[in-house]
Parts: sequence; structure tokens; C-alpha cells
Amino acid sequence: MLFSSIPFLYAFLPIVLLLYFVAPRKLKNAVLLISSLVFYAWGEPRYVVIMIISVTCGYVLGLLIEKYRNNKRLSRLFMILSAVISLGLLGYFKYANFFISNFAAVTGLSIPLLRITLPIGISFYTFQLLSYTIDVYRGDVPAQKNFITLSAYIALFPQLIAGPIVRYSDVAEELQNRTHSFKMIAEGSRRFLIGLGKKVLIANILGEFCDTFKASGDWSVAFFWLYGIAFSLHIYFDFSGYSDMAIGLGRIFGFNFLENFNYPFISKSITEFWRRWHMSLSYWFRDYVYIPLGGNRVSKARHIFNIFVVWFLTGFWHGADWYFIIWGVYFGVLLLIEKFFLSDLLKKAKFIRHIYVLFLIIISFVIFNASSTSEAFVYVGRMFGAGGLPLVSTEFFYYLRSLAPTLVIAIIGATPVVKTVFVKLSEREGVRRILNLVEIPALLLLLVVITAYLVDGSFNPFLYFRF
Amino acid sequence: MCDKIKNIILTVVLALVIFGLGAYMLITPSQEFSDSERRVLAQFPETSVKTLLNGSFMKDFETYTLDQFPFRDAFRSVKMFSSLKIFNNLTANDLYTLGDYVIKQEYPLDEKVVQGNLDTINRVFASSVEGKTDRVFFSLIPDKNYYFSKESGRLSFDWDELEGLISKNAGWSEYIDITDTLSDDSYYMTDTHWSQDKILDTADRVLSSLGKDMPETYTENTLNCDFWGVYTGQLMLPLKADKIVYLTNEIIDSYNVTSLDSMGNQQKDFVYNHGKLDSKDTYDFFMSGAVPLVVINNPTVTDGSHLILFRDSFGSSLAPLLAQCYSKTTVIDLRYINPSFLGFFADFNNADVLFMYSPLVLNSPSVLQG
Repeated sequence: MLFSSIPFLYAFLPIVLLLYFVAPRKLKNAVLLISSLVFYAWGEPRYVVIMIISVTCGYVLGLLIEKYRNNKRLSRLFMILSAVISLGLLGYFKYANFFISNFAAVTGLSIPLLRITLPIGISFYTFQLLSYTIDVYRGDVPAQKNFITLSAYIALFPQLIAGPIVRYSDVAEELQNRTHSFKMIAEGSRRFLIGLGKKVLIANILGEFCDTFKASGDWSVAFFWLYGIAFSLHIYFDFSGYSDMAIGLGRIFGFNFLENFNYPFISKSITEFWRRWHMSLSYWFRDYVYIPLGGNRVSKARHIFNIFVVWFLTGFWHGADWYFIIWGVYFGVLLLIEKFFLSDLLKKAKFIRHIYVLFLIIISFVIFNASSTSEAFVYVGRMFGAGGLPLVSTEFFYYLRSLAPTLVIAIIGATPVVKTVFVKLSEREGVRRILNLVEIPALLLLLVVITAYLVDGSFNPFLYFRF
Repeated sequence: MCDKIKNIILTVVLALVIFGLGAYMLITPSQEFSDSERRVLAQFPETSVKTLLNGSFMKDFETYTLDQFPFRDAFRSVKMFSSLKIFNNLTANDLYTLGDYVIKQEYPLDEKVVQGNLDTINRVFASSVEGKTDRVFFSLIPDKNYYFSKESGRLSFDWDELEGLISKNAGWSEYIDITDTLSDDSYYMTDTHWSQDKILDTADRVLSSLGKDMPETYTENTLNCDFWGVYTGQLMLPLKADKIVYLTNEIIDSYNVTSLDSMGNQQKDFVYNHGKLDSKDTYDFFMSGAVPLVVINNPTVTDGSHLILFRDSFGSSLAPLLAQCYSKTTVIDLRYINPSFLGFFADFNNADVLFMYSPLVLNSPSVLQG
């Protein structure tokens, strides 16, 4: 089920909110678990079983790790078993066909592909489960004794299918004891509506254009760049909008999820970009891959190797195709170049460094949104005039005009300008009162316009559902 | 207002909206038909273990909630307004307005689809027309966007490409160019179609290409009722109503018209059917709308001449004008009749055969039978 859908907003959510707030405190996690399973089953009725198996394995192995904490070998074995099961399921559903097709291509054998579809959100909940069992193994958190509580954490519908990747250690306390208040509900609702607006009013419009671009026959160099810019903004508003909705819903239910985005497009380097983009994934790889490999406290060669492993895995996590791996390694290379050659230069080149970041990010997202490795190369080539494309085309001018207001709103919205202005204005008492009065009608109007777009529209996919 | 009160009011107001609209949607009886969109609305889906497990219930439930959402038309108006007037998109659902006109941006041309429809027309030509007459003509009817896009910078079909496809695929016909006989005000403000009183030059161009002289005297008649075209319900913004003007003279008044119903039975019909004024689409007034085959017998022309017009809905208002110069005019709509039956209803020997289509039809997949 999509957050940005009429069934979610006007059927599922009101029913769940009613049940949740009516339920006594000790049943609230059970209400969240059941509603999360319904939420998941709505899109993937059969794959609920896979998730339940994963959670059950994580639960049992977490308890075993704790029980045999004093027996290093045994607790390590259970932790490895947990990782093998979780990654095994992820590997089977997400990567089996990738390996089969590559093996077939290398050997020349004709091997039929498996008829499997990717369970929604498996990449996210697998990483959450892994972080849980690893944290229990490390002794950072105690194992969760209550199966419903652990299941509610893994299946929690606000962040189940597209993140942010919430660590068990970050919400362990709130899973047991959390408070609810009008303040939290209002803050959560506000955040949810802003995220929904980002998704429906900006991301969907830009996403529709990106689809139209791909089907177009009137390509030009400028049109490719317009596509690159639009897609970069689309994926940001799509994914950060989803994260806003997840964080907002979490707040309504009494949770404090960590931020997942922090205005990544204002970054002054690619290194900084990845500290601001999909932060929960970056931190996950840092804490569970990069640092265990030795991080930067190793030889230079080993350090470079560690960075490549992390970025290879980051790319591969996003999708089972070579162009995702290329996308990940592309960032690994850029980070190494920055680390060893560009760091001083970037500190001095104050304006150029923003252009440098945006230029490389736009190219990266053109690779990311390709349908195949060859398409990725063709698209990037055409951005620089390969294939004898004209500089401009009729469709470029049309879409530039048509999308201009949306692009301007998106570009401003991708920077902290609005937030800064809002905070500055709020410092004045008179203005703060006016903003207070205007806020509720403005949010209501936003909900009406979003609902209008949902009722009328058909274009509504979430990009990160495929991961 | 202190933050505490604001938070309570915000929570209560949002809860009222989502609970209220949600309950209203699920409790009130479903509507069956949308007048504004001219389509049947989705009903509550079948609930069974099978539909739940295969996911079809969920998919159908989403369609149901979209179709049955409370104040659906009002919400659609909000969307179109914000899209066109606030976000300033050049089109919303491919529609745009210029003055009092609503225009659909028909774009892009799908060469494969056009080719598929031209293949169908080729098969019809080969099976029914070829060898029976050498007087075969083809004409393309420009869509409204053809004219409006030029002044507004919207996208439109590549007309040269389209004419090139006709030339390549219908080399057996003589092409009649009518683009210079029309202009943006030849069309209704709220509908796809052209207005009959604005296509006299077009009819004259076609008839002169067929070697006929078109009569010059007509009476303009205006229907009392307003005409709200197909774009009214799609745009969902305030518009001016159109008026349907139809042309008559002694020749047109003398027509003896029969049509074929969907069961293959012949029945008496009219070129201007007042009985259709209550239908969902008032444009059905012309030639009774979606009819597979109509025969217009003109007693004022006694030379035995026969025009066979393969047409789409644009032909409904043009055919009465063309039929003035022929003893008999057979009007065929390939969207509603299988061409293998044509031999039973039309004699192609020595007839003038005119294929006249709008790119709206040629660019729609699998719309022509055959």
C-alpha cells in the first residue's frame, strides 16, 4: 500500500489510528504489528510469510546469541547464522537471477531464470534485522524477549518498505515505553503532510516527465540535461518525501526516527553529499561494513579496498544490475579522488564546488535511472553530444516552459531557504502569531490539493519500492 | 493562539477530514455513472479468498476508492485549477485552454499505431474497393490542436510525417488537403469536433476534388439547448457552453436515411436526429452518433452516383453536406463494423470512395476493425 494513495489516507490510516489510540498501552504494539502486516499484505499477500520467517529467525537467533553470550564461538555462530539466513533470503529473491544470467553469459550455457518477484521492502527489513542481531551480538542492546515487540519493530508500517533504516538500538526504548501527545501528533501530521506534498505535487510531476522523456523521439543534448536535472529532483523529492512521511507517522505513534536527508544538493563535495543523502543507509554501511573492515585505520591500500567494498555493496544494494554497481563504484572513485587530491581545492573553490557536486550528481542519477548498462552509457554520452544529437529540440523548449514553475519550486525546496526564512520570521512575535493562525488552514489546503491530485491522477509509483 | 491549542485544533481538524471523508466514502451508496467523464464508475470489488490472495481485490479497491471518492468532481476541479493556474503547467491531463477554447494536446504521433491502422485500411481497400473503382480519395482531418498549438507553443502531431505515412501506405488514393479550409474557430469551444457551420469550405474542397459542385444556399439552425462538449467534464473548470448549429436546405431536407443498428438490422434514421439531444453526448445529434453504417438517399440527384465515405465522428457533420451531390451516400464507420460484411451493404462498383480520418483515430491503437 502506498502512503500517497486514497485507500491508505482515507481507509487504512483512520482505522489504524482509531484502533491504536483506543487500545490499552500494552496492546499498542500488537495493533501496530497487525496493521503493519495488513499494510504489507495489501501489496504482497504471499510475501508476508517470508517476512514472518525472517523476523522469527531474527527473534530466535537474537535470544540464542544472548543466551550464549559467554560462549564466544557459539554466539558468533548464531550471529553468522542470522546473517546467512537474512542475506540468503535477500540473495535469493533479489540477486539470484543476476548471478544466473551473468553465469550463463560467461559460460555460454542456457540457464532459465527463476520466476520470482522481489518482495517489497526486503532490502530494508533485512538490514534492520541484521543490525538487530549484530547489535545484540556486540552487546550494544539486550535481545528482545517479546516476539510481538520485535515483530512490530521490523514490520512497523511507517518505515517498512522504503526506510529510513531504523536501528533497533534507536527505538528499543520507545518500543517498550513511549508517550503520545497532541504535540507529537501535530508535529507528525505536519511532517507527514509536507512529505506527502513533496511526493504528490513535485516528485510525481517530475517523474511523469522523466517517463515521457524516455518515450520521446525528439531528444537533444539540452533535453537530456533537463531530464537529468528533473530526475535528480524527482528522486530526492520522492525518497525524502517518503522519509518525511515515515518520520511523521512514526511521531504520531510515539517514535522518533532519525533523519534520512539533510538538503543533500547544497553539499560542497561528494563526500558531504553522502553524509546528507539516505543517511540511514550510509550509517548502516559505515557501522556494519566499513568499520568492521578496519575503516581508515589500516594501510592506504587496505583503506582504498575498504572504500571500494562499501561502494560496491551500496550500488549492489540498490539493484541487481551492473549499472547499479557502476553507480556505486562511481561514487567510490569520486570519494577517493576527493580524499587524496581534491579536498584542499574544494575548500577554496567556493562557488565552483557546488557546480562540481551538482554536475556529478546529475550524471550519477542518469546512470541510476537507466534500464540497462548500455542505456546508462548511451544516456551519459548523449548528455555530451554523442550520437549527433541537436543541441535543442521542440520538446525541450515545451517541457522547459511547462515544468519551469515546478522546477523552481523544487530547486528552492531542495535548499534550506524556506526553513531558514520561516525560522527567521518566527523570531518576530507578530509574524509568529500570523504564521500560527495561517498554519492550520494552509495544511488543510495542502491536504485538499494533494487529495485532488490523488483522486485525479494515475501516476504514483514510489521509486525506492524496487529496492 | 498558543502552540498547545494549535496542536489540538490541528489534530482534531485533520482527524475530522480523514475520518469524515473516509467514512463518507465507505458508507454512502456507490454511484454507477459519471456524467462529467461519461463513463461507468468502479463498484466495490468482489471479496473472496482468491481475490485477496492474488491481489486483485486490493487493486480493484483502489480503483473503487478513486471512482467513489466524496466530492470527486470538486476535487478534480481543484486539481485542474492548481495544475493549470497555480503550477502553471502548459497542460493538465493533456488539456489546455486558450480564450474560451479547451484543447487537447494530441501528441506524440505513434508511428507503429498509425501504421497498424493504415494496414487495416489497406486490407479494406484490397478486399472491398480494389478493382471496382479507380476513384479513391484520402483526406486527413486536422485535430483542433493542429491550429491552436501553433499560436500557443504546445506540442502537436508532426503533420508532414503523418502525410508521409498516408502517401507511403495509401498510394492507391488521391490525397485531399483540407488544412487551409479550417482554422482554430472551426471547432467547438468545449469539444473535439468541428462545427458544421464552419466547414462549408472544407466540404467544398472535398466535393470539388471529387469533381462535384457544392450547393451554396443553406439555412443555419441553432439548437435551443446548450452543448457541453467532451472536454467540459475532463477540464472541470468553468467554461462557456457551445451551441450546435446545423445546416439545412431543400436537398438536405429531402434525404431518405437508413442506418444499420448494432444487430445488423436496417432502420429509418436521420442526418439530424433530435431524438439524440438527451443522450450523454449531444454531438450524437449528427447522424445519430456511433452507428456502423448509414445510407443517405438523395432524391434530388438522379444520376445514380454513389459516394462511399469511410469516416470517424468528424464525418457525422460533414456527410450531410457531401451527400447533396450524390444519389446515394454510404457512410461507414470501421470502428463499429467488421469490414468482411461490407459487401452485403455497399456496392463499390464505380462508386467514389473517400477515406476521411482524423489523426485522433489513426493514432489510437486497435480502433479500426479489420
